[in-house]
Amino acid sequence: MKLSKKGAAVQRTIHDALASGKALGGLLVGFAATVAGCGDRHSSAHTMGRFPDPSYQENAKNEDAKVFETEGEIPEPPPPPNAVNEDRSKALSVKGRIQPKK
Amino acid sequence: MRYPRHVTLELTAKCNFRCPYCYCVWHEYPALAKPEIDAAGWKTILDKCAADGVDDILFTGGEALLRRDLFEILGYARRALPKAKFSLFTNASRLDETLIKKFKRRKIHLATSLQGLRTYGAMTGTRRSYKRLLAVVARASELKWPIAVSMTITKANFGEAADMFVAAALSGASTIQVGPVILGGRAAANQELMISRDEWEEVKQRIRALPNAHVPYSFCDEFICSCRADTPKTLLEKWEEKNRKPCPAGKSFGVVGPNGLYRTCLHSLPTRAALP
Repeated sequence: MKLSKKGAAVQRTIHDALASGKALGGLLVGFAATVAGCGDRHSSAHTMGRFPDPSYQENAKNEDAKVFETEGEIPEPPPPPNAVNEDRSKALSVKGRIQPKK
Repeated sequence: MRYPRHVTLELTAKCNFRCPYCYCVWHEYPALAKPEIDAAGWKTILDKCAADGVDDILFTGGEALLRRDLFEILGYARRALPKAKFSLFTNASRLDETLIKKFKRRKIHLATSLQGLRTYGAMTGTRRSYKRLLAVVARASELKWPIAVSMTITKANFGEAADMFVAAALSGASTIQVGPVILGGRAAANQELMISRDEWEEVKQRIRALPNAHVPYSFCDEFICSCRADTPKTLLEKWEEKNRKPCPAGKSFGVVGPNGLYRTCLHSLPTRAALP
């Protein structure tokens, strides 16, 4: 699977950390902003053969609780934070919260 | 009978993975997988979905991508239910960039499983590596059609559960859903894979303690399906969640199996013929 340079670098970092027996948790600090723009509010409620309470999301604030909302138009996922410079302010806004610039 | 709003269509029982914890009921009752209905049969069911006002369909299997007529069925589904939300669950082994783009064009959301990292081969019953799965998730994210990732925690991958979560998050999973093995399907014959409630709580704590990955996630606390009338009482007493909310199976969602029979949930046994 051909990935962008940044995507390939992330994958290599994961593989290297696992190969050396390191826990991956520390990688989140450095890479969280890379994936922050990818959150799409589509439902995963059916995955794993489970049907969780659709209003429930472990890490949601109240205003985000309907992450499994299935009605209405299917939204286009927001662009990744580093995709288009001129749209950066918009891209950094995920679910109404501003992500810190790295 | 009338279908509920959310329906899962198990398009095939065939699968190229052999996950030892797979929940699919035909591993316990092989007759439920046969005979598999053809595209014409699924079109009849989709017509009924449209007539009953179904607005959310999940296409799954087995492995739905093994059906050669998958896009014929999906195309018909879109014409029959133009406004419905569609999702497809896949083990991603056959998912590539071309297919991701095809699903994106058709606005069919994707979901997959990350069964393990070092344990991926054992947890899929294959000789595959987790690397391709993560690359598929990453590529889909780059193409702006991300995949929801689910993770089933077993005795085998229990130790790497937090790493699995991080790997999925870093790869661009759109949402992550985590739960313990459910007693049923192949897991009924592999009960040694089930984790205890204490271990499950530990997994949740480990994930909650991670730095913020900016990925929506949810936990599923079910260990057993209470709908199953054939579950021995001793197992129910051991695994059933106390004071649980009434399950909405059959009310807000239902399932049509590979042979066209309707069930109230993925774990339950058929009650009525699905074909009108």
